Amino acid sequence: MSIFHGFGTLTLEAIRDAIRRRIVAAIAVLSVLSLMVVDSCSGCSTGDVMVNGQAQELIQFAGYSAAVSFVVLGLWIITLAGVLAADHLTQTLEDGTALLSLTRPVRREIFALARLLGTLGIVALTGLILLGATAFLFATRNGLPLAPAAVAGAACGLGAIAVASLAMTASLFLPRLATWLLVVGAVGIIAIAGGLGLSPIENGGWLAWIGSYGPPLLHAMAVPLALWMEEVTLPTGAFDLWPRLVVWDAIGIASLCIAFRSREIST
Amino acid sequence: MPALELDAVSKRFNGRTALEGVSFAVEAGSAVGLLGPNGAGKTTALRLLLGLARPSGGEVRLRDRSPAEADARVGLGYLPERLVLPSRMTVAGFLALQASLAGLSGGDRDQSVEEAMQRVGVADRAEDRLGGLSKGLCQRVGFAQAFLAAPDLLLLDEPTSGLDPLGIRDARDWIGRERERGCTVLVSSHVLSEVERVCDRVIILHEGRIVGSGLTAEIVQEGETLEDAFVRLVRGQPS
Repeated sequence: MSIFHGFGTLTLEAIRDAIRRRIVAAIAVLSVLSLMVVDSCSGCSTGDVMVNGQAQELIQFAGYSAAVSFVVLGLWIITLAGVLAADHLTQTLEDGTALLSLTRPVRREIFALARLLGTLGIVALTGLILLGATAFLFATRNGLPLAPAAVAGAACGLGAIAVASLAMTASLFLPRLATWLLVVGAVGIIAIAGGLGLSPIENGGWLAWIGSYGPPLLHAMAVPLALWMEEVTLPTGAFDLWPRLVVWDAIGIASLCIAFRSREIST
Repeated sequence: MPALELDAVSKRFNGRTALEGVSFAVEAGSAVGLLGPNGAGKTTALRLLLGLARPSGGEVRLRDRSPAEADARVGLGYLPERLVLPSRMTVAGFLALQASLAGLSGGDRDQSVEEAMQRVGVADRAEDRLGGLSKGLCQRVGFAQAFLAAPDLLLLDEPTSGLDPLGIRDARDWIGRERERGCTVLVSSHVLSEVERVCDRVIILHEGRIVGSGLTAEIVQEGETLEDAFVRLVRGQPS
């Protein structure tokens, strides 16, 4: 059997399996709620606000508002990828439904990657709708260009791959709740480290190390969105962020394949 | 070349020895019963043969290859003791998925699924969800997935579990037909009478070691049943 045949079959089944689970309905509800918030934010274009005693039109803050909204939603999508991935492989091992597939002539790596892709398929659809609608609303209401959103969306996708693959790997060793907490905590810390790295505040220690060498989840989305914010120059160039994201994707995928290959399966 | 072979295999986990120095081979085309009381190591031996676990010592070979290699599992049908089917899938959908993973596609896959369903008597339940089936029907679906793609090696772990007397008789016929086709069969079971009817050789495990093996006629002494021989061999070992 060709690798692609098995991979395609398992990936389709992994996506169907994700759709059959109730969590997808929960995500849909949360996404709709998120879109309502975005709709409200992007509609704030009339009226005045006082800054340093001077009246400013709210439209002048649209770029900031859009960039912050987009990055926050992007981080939510990345966290979602990790949370779903923490469950999507181990659930089939725990309930025993993976057993028969794993005794077929299918490589372990193919099975794990198909489950990962199944998770990412659902996340990609959610992200496309959520981030796409956000960018569209800000573009139509505030006249912001769409290209930075497309680049930031791609960065979000790469970040989701890294977090999902690492979460899926961790789920092979940790209980589900611990993996979920690890995902939420890690994305939060990486975002804080990234935020500090973008700010003029001097910081050192392990947060600075994470900001410099960890997956640039926040940086990689924020840097292209700087085009939306007038008179803002972010200190990190985009080009060193993308290779770093790709390297973290490769680390995540390789660790998943190695960990799942050496995993013993109970019957 | 044996269809499968364990050579001085040991398996330890969590400080417990599940198998210790177990060696046996199953020749292609033969039917062998793997017997033993609970915890004897039968399921562990099957896990090793399926590549689901790695031996702590010794070597496991499936058609002279490591079972961890995906290609070594081509043409292998397996029925687990604890059969868990995805409850939201339909019978036909599940079998189509398994047939695809077994390497079939298009018309060959559909034909294999249809034949397997007809054979085990679940064709009229093709569109039913697996979660709504009785235990006996689930076991029939389990047999159907094991028979997909005309396997040349069948590993059956407690195959008659959950079947009524009619189902048990049917299962015996299905396995018999596979044997006639030249398929190698390894059956792990507690039901000695079934093993006696289906298999020509038996391997008896006790506390992770082989305590008896050979042709059924060799194991069973005069005036004994297989059950008597089993009890004699198992009880005869110091625990």
